[in-house]
Amino acid sequence: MKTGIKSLVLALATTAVLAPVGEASADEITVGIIVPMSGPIAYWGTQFQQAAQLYADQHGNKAGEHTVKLVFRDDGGLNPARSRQMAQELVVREKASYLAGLAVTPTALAAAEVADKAKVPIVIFNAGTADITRRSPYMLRAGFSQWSVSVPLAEWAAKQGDCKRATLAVADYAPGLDSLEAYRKTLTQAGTEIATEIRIPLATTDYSSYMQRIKDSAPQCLLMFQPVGPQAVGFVKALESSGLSSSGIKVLGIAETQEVDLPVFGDSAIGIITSSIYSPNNDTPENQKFVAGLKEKFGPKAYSDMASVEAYDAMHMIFEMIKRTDGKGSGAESIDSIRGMKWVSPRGPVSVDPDTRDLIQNVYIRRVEKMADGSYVNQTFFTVPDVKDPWKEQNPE
Amino acid sequence: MGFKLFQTIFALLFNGIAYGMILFIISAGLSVTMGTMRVVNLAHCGFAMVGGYIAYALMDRLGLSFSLAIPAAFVLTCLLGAVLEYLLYRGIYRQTELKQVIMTLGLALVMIASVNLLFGASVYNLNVPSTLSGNVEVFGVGLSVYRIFLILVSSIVGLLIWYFVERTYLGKKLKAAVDNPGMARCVGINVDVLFSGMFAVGCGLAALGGALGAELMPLQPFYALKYLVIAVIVVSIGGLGSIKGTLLAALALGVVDTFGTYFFSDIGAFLIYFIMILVLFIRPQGLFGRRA
Repeated sequence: MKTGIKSLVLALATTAVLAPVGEASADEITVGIIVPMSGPIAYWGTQFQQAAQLYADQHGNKAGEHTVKLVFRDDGGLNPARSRQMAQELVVREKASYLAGLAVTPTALAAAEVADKAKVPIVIFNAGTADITRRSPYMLRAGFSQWSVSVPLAEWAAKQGDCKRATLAVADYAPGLDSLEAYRKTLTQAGTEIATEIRIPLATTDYSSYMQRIKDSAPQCLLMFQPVGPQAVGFVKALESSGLSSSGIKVLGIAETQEVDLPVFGDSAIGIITSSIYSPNNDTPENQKFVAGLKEKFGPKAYSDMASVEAYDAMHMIFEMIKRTDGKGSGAESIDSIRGMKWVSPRGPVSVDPDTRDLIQNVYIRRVEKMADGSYVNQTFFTVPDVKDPWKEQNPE
Repeated sequence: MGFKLFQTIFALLFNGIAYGMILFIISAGLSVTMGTMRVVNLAHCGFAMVGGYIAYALMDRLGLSFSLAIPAAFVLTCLLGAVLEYLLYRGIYRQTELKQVIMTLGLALVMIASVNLLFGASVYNLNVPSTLSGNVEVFGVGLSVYRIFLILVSSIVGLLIWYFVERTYLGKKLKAAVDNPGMARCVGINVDVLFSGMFAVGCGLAALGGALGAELMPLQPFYALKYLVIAVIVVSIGGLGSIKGTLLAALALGVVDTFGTYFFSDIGAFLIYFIMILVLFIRPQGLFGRRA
C-alpha cells in the first residue's frame, strides 16, 4: 500500500514536470471540483455546485481566451481517503489544472496533499481550521477561518452592556474548539466573566441536559457554535423547548441560523445574533445579481448562502488566475498572479491576503428577523470591515 | 440549594424519560424483527426516517393537521413495510447474517438516496401545533408540553403492544409462531402472514417514533444511519425480542444519558457505551433476552 502511494505520487510529480499546467490542452482548461453531494453533509454539495456552475455560465465558460471546463466529483462527505482519490483522479485522468471544492478540514487537507505534490493550485471552498493554508503553498481559501468569525462576534458581544457573564457552548470537534478558544480569549481580555464552558459531542441527540447546564450557570449571554444541519437544528430547538430562548439570555452564534435551517426554527430563532462572512440580503448590486442568477438558473427554491458565495468567489479566483497567466502559468505563477487581488464579491469587498492566501473580508453581525411575508432572514446590523484571520496574527509562523 | 438540586434532578429525569420513550418507540419494532424473526434489519431506522418524511410531506405539502398526519404516516409506513417484506425480506429470512446485513444496509442506502432526491439534503422538522408547544411550570421547572405529550403517547403505545402480545389470541399465536414455527404451522397458524403483519407493524412503530421524535431527532437523509447505532444499542441491552427489555433499556439509556451529560461533562456522553459494554459482557443476550 505504502509503495503504491509513493509510486503514484512519483507518477503525479513526473506528470507535473513533463506537462506544465496549461500546456496539457491548448485551449480547454479543466477545473476539478470536489464537493460532498451525498452522505451526511450533502447540503454543502448542492449549494457549492449551483454557485460554481452559475459563475461559469455567467462568464460563458470563458476565462480570457480560454474555455474552462468544470468537472465535479462527489466525495460523499466525511471521507478524506475518498477526497484524496478524487483529487488524484482529477489531476491524472482529467488533467485538471486547478482543483477546488471541499467542505471540511479533513477532506480539504487530503485533497490539498495531492495538489501540493502535483503543484496544482487548490481553492478550498469551506474548511474552518485556521492553519490549513500553511500546509501547502498551493492552497487558497475562499471561505474563512473559524477564528475570523468568532473573534468579531465575541468583541461585539463584550462591548454590549448585557454580556458581562457568558456561557460558552460548542460542538466538541476542531472548529468548535477553535471557536471556544477564540471566544474565551477575546471575552476574557474584554473583561467578560466566563460562567462555564460546555463541549457537546457531535453525536448528541437530546440536548436537554446541556440546556439545563446553561440555565444553571446563570449567564447573561450564551456564545455557541454548532455545525449547520442536525446539530444546529437540535440545539436551537432545544433552546426553545427548554425555555432558554425566551428567558432573556442573549444568544449568539455562528452557523446555527444558516438560511437552510432557518425555516425549521420558526419564531423561536428570532433575535439570535450570529456572525458570518455573508448575509443573503445584503442590498449591493453584486449580491442582488448573484441571488437573482441562482433563482433564474435553478428555480425559485434556489437560495444563496455562505456556502454558495464561497464557491462563487472561488470560481472567480480560478478564472482570474487563468486570465492573468494566460492559461500558461505554473501552479506557483498562477497563485502569485492573484496575491493581493481585490474585487467586490456578493459578500462585499474582499481581497486575497498576499501572505496567507486567505481572504481578507468583512464579517457581518446579523440578527434573525421575520419579514413581512413570513419568511426569516439574517439581517446585518453591524459590519466589521476587512477582517484578517486573527489566529494567524496571534500565531505568526 | 437543596431545592435547586431537586429542581435540576427533576428536570433531568423528565427530559431523560421523554428521550427514552422516543428511543423505545423507534427501537420496539427492531427488537421484534431481530429478536423474533431473526432478521438483522439495518434498514429499521430508514423506516423511522420515511415515516417522519411522510408526516412532513402530508403536513407541509398537503396541509394535513398534525393529529392526522402522524397516524397516516404510521399506516403508510406499515404498508410500505408489508410490501418490502413481501418483495425483499422474505428472500433473506433463511440466509446468513452477512447476507441480511448487506441487503438491509443496501436498502437503507437506497432510502437515504431517495429521500435526498425527493426532499434535498436540508433538515426538516414537523410543525407542532401551538397547543403542544411551550412550557408548563411544575415545581418551578419549565417542562416542555411536547415532551409531556411524547411520554403520554409512548406510554399508550407501549401499553397497547403489551396488551396485544400478552392478552389477545393473536398475540398468543404470535408467541407460538416465534417459539416454534414448525409446530405452529402444524396446528394451523399461518406463520408467514403473521410474520409479515408483525414486520409491517414494526416498521409502522418506527415511523411513529420518527415522526413524533422529529423534534429531538430532526429529519435529514442521513437519519437512517445516524440513529441506527442508538437503536441497536437499546435493543441489544434490552435483549432481543423482549418488549419489556427494550422499554427498560430505552428509559435507562435516556435517563443515564441526560444525567451523565449533566454531571460528568467530559465523559457523560460515553456513559451509555460503557453501560452497553458492561451489560453485554455480563449478559451477552441482553437484560431480558433469552439465551440463544
